[in-house]
Amino acid sequence: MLRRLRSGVLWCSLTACAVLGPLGSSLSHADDDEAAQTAADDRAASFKTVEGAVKEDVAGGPLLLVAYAVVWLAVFGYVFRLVRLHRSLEDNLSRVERAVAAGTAKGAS
Amino acid sequence: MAEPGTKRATLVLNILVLTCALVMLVELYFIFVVAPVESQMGMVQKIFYFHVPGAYAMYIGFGVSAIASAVYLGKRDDRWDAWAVAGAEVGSIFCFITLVVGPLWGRKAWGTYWTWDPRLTTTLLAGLVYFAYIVLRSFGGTGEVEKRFAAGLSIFGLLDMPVIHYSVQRWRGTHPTVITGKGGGLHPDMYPALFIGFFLFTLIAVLLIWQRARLEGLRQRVQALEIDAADRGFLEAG
Repeated sequence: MLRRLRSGVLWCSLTACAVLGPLGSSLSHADDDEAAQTAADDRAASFKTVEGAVKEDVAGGPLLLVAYAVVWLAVFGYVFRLVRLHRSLEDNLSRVERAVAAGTAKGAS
Repeated sequence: MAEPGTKRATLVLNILVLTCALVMLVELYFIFVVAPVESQMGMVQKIFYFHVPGAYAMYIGFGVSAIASAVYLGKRDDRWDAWAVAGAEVGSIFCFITLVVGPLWGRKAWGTYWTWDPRLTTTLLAGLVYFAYIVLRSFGGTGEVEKRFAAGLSIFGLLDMPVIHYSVQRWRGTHPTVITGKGGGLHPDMYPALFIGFFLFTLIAVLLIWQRARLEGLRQRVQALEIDAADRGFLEAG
C-alpha cells in the first residue's frame, strides 16, 4: 500500500515537471522576447522623418564666416605688425642719428 | 628716410598691393558667384578655396626660410638671414590659417574639429618647428650662434614638407585628396576660384616675405649703427 502511494506521488511529480517545466520555460522566453522587441522598437523609434524644410545639424554659414574672418584677420594683423616694426625702426634710427649728430658737434667744439 | 628700398622698389610694392586688392575682389566674386555650392557639404565647402592656397603659401614661406637658411650657413651673409626670418614668419602665418580654417571645415565634414590624421598632425608639427624658430629669433638674441642654430632648425622644418604633402597618399587618414589623381576631382566651375586663390595667396606671400625681409635688413643696419655709435661713445650701450 505504502509502496503504491509512493509510486503515485512520484508519478504525479514527474507529470507536473513534464507539463509545468516547458510551460515555465516558454513563459520566461516570452519575457525575453518581449524585452528584445521593446529595445528594438526603441532604437527604431530614433529614426524620424523630416517635417518641413531639411535643416542641417551643423550650420555651414557661420563656419564659413569664421574661416574667412580668421584668414583676413591673420593677414591684416601681420601687415599691422610690419607697420609697427617699421615705425619702431624709424624711431630707433632717428635716435641714433640725433645721438651721432650731438656727439659729433660736441667733439668739434 | 632713404632706406629701405629705392623709388623703384616702392613702385613695385605699390603695384603688388594694388594687384592683390583687385585679385582679392575677383577671387571673392568667383567663390561666391561663379563656383557652385557643393551638394554634400553646402556653403562650408567654400573654405576650400582659401584653405588649399593657404597651405600652398605655407610651403612657399617655409621653403624660402629653409633655402635662405642653407645659403646663410654657406655664405654667412646677413641678407640671407633676413630672408630666412621673413619666410619663417610668413609661413607660420599661413600655417596658422591652414590649421584654423581646416578644422572649421572638418566640423561639418567629419563632425569634429580635430582628428590626429597624418596630414593634420604633420602640419601641426611643421607649425611647431617654425614657431620654435620664431621664438628663438625673438628671444634668443641676435648673435651668430643663435642665427646658425635657427638656420639648422629651419632646414629641419623643411624636411617635414614632403611628409605633409605625401602623408595623404602613403598613410591611411581622413584628409581628402580632392585635387590629386586619386581624388574625386572638382566640378569644372570650381577650378577658376581655386586657381585664382593660388595666384592671390602666392602674391600675398611674396609681398609679405619681401616686406618682412626688407624690414629685417633695415633692423640689422640700425642695430649695426647703434653698436657703432655706442663704440664711438655717442650712444649708451645696451
